[in-house]
Amino acid sequence: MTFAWPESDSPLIRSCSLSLPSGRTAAILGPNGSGKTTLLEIILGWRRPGSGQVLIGNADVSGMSAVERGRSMALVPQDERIPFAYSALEYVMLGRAPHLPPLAAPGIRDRAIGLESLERVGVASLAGRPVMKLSGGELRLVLIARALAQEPRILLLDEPANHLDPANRERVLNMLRSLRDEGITLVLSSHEPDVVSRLSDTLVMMRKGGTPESGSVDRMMRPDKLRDVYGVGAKIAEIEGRRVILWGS
Amino acid sequence: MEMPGKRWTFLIFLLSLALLLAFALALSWGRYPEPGFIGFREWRQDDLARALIFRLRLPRALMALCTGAVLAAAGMVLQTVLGNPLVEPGLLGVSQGAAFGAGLAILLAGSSAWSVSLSAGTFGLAGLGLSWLLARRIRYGGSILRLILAGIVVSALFSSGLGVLKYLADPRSELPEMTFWLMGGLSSVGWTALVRVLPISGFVLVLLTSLRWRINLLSLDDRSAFALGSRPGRERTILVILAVLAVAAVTAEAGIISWVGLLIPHASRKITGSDTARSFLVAILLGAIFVLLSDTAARSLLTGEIPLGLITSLAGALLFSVLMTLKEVES
Repeated sequence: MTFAWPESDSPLIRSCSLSLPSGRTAAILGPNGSGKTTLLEIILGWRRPGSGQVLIGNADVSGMSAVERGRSMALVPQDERIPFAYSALEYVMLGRAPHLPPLAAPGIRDRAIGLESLERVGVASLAGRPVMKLSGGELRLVLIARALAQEPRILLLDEPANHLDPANRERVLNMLRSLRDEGITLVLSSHEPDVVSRLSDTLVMMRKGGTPESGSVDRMMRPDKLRDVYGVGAKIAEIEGRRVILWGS
Repeated sequence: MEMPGKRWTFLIFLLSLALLLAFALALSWGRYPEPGFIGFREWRQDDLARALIFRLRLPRALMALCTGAVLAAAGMVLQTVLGNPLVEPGLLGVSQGAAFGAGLAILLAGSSAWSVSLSAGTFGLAGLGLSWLLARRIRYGGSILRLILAGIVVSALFSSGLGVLKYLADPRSELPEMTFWLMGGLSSVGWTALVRVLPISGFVLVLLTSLRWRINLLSLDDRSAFALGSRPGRERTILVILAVLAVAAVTAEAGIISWVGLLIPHASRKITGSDTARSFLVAILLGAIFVLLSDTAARSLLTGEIPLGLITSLAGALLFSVLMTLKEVES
């Protein structure tokens, strides 16, 4: 698959070929502007690749109906425009849209799913708070809860641990692991090798305008690969079984 | 802020009751046979009073109700799907287009109600169409910003066109008629006008009310709405066209009725919270009550009729400033 912005001479993503078994986790790692978010958007079907296709099972994403797509995949964006003061619960219940007929509003069951999703990410106490007044970390958790309320088979997360304090970060990582154990396929972009190595089976390394490379975390998370992708020296240390990267070394 | 279901149901009951009272007031209050209510005795004995109510006040009150409901509903839809709480139907070239159309009809075809309505409705829709076309050519900002910018440009163009029409108009006959139409009013509304407006307004109101929860999705940015199983471009286009169609229909008969589309959605969100599943119906009821009361005041306060648009502007601006200074109540 290849993708280029209109009016751009060179492609942003060149010859990208990936396959991910159901229920596994892939992480997309790469420097700013290398196309991590764009790759997530292509998988979602929001952007169309110049060549190639995205398949879920045998179904081409570009040919899916809106409802089918919404039931298959959910996106946790990095940020989102919030023009009105919806309560956190109202916001999370928007995730029920693909499960409702066009003229219907969420019912008791949808409300229960919304509350359960908020509870699962540990912010049930925020249900009545206006989303506009949430901190960056709280909003991130609410966005994850909305994606959970969507009950997708595939969850796309753009920098899921951004803005989170250590406690919430652990909570989110544990929750993502349990989602993976439940058979949900996760595709996440991240800047944080720690997050990547703890969650992922497959690692995709993006290069600006280059061909992404993918492989197992053990094969990809090496100092030479990191230097190649980021252009900065890196040492990898293991502390209590977890990888820590020392940049600039 | 989220309003609990029982409180919301009670609120809808109260507002429906208030609407009934406002409607009864609109039918019975006036300056015949003397300033005040038409009493039960006049109702039974006075043929003229009965004719006044059935032939004049009833269609007028229904039109006021319909105008308020449509303008409030359209304001709510446009603000939500364009993600901008400052948008109202007038910002997309519709009101100015309709004003230009009415002015043109008065200048070219005299004061025939049909020609003024038809021309106002056609140019109102043309205003939206031009805004839409221009937005596609603008190379600045996202799709919503482009549409709003285009709407401002198209409104300004129609405004200047209207200025030219006023300059050309006969200052003794055509100019006063144009000016009066622009200030909005329901004095010439009868059953025929109502028949022209009700089918389209009723259809749009029923459809938008059925879709009211889904409208929330389109307040998000396009990518998020898409990820939630929506087709944001297509759905937004359909909703905007529906809203504007109904606005063009009522504006063609009632003229420019300002502030309803801006004030009422804000007021209903303040009362129920932002979820359109709840705020939309409240907006429809509030809009209907507001225009009904304003119209009753417009024809009863003085011996001569005050233009309805003047009353809604005055009351709207005052209420809006009060609304904006209220402390937000959090649950």
